Amino acid sequence: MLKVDQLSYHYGKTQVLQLDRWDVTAGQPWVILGKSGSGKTTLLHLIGGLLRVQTGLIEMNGQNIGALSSKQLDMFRAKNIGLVFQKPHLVATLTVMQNLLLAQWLSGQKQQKSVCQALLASLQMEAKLQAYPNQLSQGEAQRVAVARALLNRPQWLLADEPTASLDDENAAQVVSLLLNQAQEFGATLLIATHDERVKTHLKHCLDLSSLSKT
Amino acid sequence: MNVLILSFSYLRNKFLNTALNLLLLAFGVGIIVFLILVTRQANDQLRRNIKGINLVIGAKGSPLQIILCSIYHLDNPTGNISLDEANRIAQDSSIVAKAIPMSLGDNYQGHRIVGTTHAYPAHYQATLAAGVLWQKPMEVVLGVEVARKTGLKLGSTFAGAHGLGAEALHQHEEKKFVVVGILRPSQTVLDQVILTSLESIWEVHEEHTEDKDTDHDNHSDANHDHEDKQKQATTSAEAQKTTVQQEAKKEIKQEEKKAVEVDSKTEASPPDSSQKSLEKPKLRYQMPKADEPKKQQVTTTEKTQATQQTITKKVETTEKKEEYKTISLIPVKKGKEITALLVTYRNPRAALMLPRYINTETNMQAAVPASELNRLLSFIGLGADMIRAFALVVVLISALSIFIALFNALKERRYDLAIMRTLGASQLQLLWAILLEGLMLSVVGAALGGLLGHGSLAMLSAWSAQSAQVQLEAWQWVRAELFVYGGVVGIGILTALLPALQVYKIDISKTLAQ
Repeated sequence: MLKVDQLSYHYGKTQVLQLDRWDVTAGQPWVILGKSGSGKTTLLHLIGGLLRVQTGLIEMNGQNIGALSSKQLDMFRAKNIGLVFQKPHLVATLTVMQNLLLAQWLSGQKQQKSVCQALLASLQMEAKLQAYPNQLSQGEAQRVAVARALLNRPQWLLADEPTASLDDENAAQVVSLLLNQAQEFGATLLIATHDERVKTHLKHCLDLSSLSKT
Repeated sequence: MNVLILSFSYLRNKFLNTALNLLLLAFGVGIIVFLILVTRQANDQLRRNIKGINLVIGAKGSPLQIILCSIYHLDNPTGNISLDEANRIAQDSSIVAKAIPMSLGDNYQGHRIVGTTHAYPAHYQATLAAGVLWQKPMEVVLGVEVARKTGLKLGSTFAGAHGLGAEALHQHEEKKFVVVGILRPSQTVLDQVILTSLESIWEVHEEHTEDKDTDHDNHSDANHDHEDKQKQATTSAEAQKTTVQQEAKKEIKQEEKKAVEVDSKTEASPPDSSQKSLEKPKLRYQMPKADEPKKQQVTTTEKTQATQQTITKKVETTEKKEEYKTISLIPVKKGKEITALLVTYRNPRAALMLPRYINTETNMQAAVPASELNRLLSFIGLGADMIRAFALVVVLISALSIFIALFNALKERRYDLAIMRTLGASQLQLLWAILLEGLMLSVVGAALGGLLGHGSLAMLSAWSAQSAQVQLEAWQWVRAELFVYGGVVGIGILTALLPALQVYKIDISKTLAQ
């Protein structure tokens, strides 16, 4: 359950985001659509706790995340939110397996190789366990990134422009991967994108471009 | 996964860079450690060898050479001094507590054969590992290193070779030494030498004096030049005498008279020094009264008695000044020569008097081991300081290199750090991860440097083991090393700290939105 109320965000004096009311029920995947500069990434980062709430309210699972200290916010994020970015951003000096173990370690979870292995297997990546990120294709790396985001079984999976720079086929694959995995892990998927192609795969859409104009 | 694996993965990723930094660090540390070890150990050993020896009396020449020759057995003698003259000094028990005569010139496989008295091993508190001390001429006691390297055992016989080096020209084949004792390790120069009586040296060299005309040309060594030296001394003495006669028109000053006497005695000593009979030397030992008024306490007559009694080996019983224990009993033989006399003072007054007296009033030379050693060490120290400064620069360059590497790496790693933050890493955790890289580098660098320092010392000591009088212990640890290692690790942490603090500046949202 996500509740956004009277949310606005400013960089200096420039307002980049204004969202009066948005409710997301758990399990409902949404796409946040908007041109660049419309505030979709800002919104995603606010929900993900990468930015602090300035004015307004964000409530996740009944928790007002603006009221958390930055340390509590870090822990809240590590436990409840998985993040996927436009680029995979895997740690280049670690193997695929180590990248996953890193996520478990940093979030304070028990490091379980079997869990990582099973997850990678479900993504058809078990053969690449000991590979380094630079030995993976773009698609493979993206899949590892998704695996990493889902590793701690978060309730929310936030994806920022996951399909940018991908062709139609790959874009469709990534979106369906996110949808399937989110569903399988019981996470609610939120995708922020300017890519109109994504809209066709998801039922719910928050169009920030149209909102900010009205 | 833990912070160690993470930090290590970054270091491994930049393998060449890491290796270069380690190499620089290790070299800097290695050089510094090496210098510390060498100077410390050399210092300790050099000082151990001069302990208790206040003065060395030898023939005129470089005082440093006298010390190197007579204490460390590293250099050739400056020449010989007359035993009679040496005895006069040795027997002045009011200022001399201990006197050790020494006759040098031969070696066996590079190990010097030292003709001396039992006072010499006693001075270094040496004890026997096997056998007994020498009693008769041609009996020798081996230092522990000599026994180890030459393989000589009790009862072994060998012939000495002339000179200091192992490849000396002349072998004294006719006169064989016999090993009667082997010393325990004493960590002093005794470990490296062969000890025997003064008589042994004289016996071996007697024949040289006799057939000097035939084979003397073969020897370039200083010891066998003693006849020449004597001639020189005589020549200069005659010149002096002439001057004295010219200048002393009405009255001859006491000192000058004495000088003349000494000179005439030198002239008078028979060139045939094979004569062995014990004779009472003429006593001309007088302190210059004008220069040293304090010296008047000891009268000449007392001295005469003392000397005579020593000669008859009854000093302790009849000596007036009974509180003065004797002096080593030096065999007194007319016309004999020794290389040097090691002297321990009775009292501080001697330090003021004796060196000046010897240097001005005799044709011998007094060398103070402590000050000569300090002089020597200050020469060496200058070079060591230069190398140490160079090594420090190497360490600082490597610190700078680590700093630059980490700083640059941090730019590339901003995404990694931001991602890790989103995965739940605290800023402190990441700061620690980066610090740990600097720490690991410096710890490994310090360790490698330590190994390098000790290892190169081990190589040096193995390489120079044959001839070194200073034995270097490669795997001995010195406390000063800890400061070096600690300092290097400290520098490593400091150089990593500045890049690491950048962790707090990273804006996760901005970094990931790019």
